[in-house]
Amino acid sequence: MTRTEALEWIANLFEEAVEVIKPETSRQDIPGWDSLGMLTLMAALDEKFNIVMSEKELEDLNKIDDILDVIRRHGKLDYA
Amino acid sequence: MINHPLIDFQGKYVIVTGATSGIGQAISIEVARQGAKPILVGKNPDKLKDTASRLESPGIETLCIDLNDHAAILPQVKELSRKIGRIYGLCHSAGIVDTVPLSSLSVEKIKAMMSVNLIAGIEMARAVSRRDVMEESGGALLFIASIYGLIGMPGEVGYSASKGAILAASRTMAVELARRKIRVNTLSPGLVKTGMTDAAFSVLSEKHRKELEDDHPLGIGTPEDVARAAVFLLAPQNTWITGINLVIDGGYTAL
Repeated sequence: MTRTEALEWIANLFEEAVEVIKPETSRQDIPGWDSLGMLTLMAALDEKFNIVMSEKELEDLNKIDDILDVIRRHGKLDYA
Repeated sequence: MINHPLIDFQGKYVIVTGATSGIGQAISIEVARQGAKPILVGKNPDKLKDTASRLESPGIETLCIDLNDHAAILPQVKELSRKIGRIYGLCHSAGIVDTVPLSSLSVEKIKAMMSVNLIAGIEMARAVSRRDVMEESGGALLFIASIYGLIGMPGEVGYSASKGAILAASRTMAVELARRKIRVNTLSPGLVKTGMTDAAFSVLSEKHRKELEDDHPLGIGTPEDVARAAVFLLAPQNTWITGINLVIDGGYTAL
């Protein structure tokens, strides 16, 4: 998955316009990234990439780039 | 003193499934009368066109969806919203009933009722309540359930299960979506004279039909009776009503 595709995937996940979702966008600026949004992210990472994360690990993610990092670390993000 | 109307949808978009007949059609007409722009959902384009032409209301949209095609619901609703703007409400009125005794019930019949009455309703709710689809200030979701989701009725095992399930799902949606000011309610009509119930009750004996009618102290209902209650629950002014099920049955369950 390219970085652009990943950003689109995250935007859709949090029900936001893709223009809003940038690597530096923080969790506080994304209304959909609340406690329920975290569960959505947890399920989606598992379903889409087979990445299993605990709630504690997810709590440490603070911006979009942190999510990209997770995907990258699991070898699912192309290096552009 | 300014006299504010009790109900005024102020041009907000409300999606109505099952809009081409019976209760759904009556709700489409009533929400339009109260100032909403209805989005009529149905699978037959000719019937959609016919219903739209009868509404005599500006800004009517139609959405041709086969509600059994669950995967198509979300992308089509998103696409429509991109085209026309944010959506305020949903009324899932589409439903099917197959009245057969338990011994004649089949997995296929159960799945068919669950598919439209329950799963399509949840998928519609999932699509309409998205942050990039629904009005940012909140909205209202309404599901037309049935008193058979609350009480037993011979021959309605599959139908009762599907309606009971949507009642349960709605309560959870109400709790989950309240923080975004999205209200979720259900309406449980008793016997209402529509094409669907005519078909369902045609398999019953004359004696059984008469008994059913007599069991409704106020007689059997009309789609318009249900539509007025639906408008009340959907109305943007009724901001403190969520998670309820309004039984509207002419006194059937009070007996």
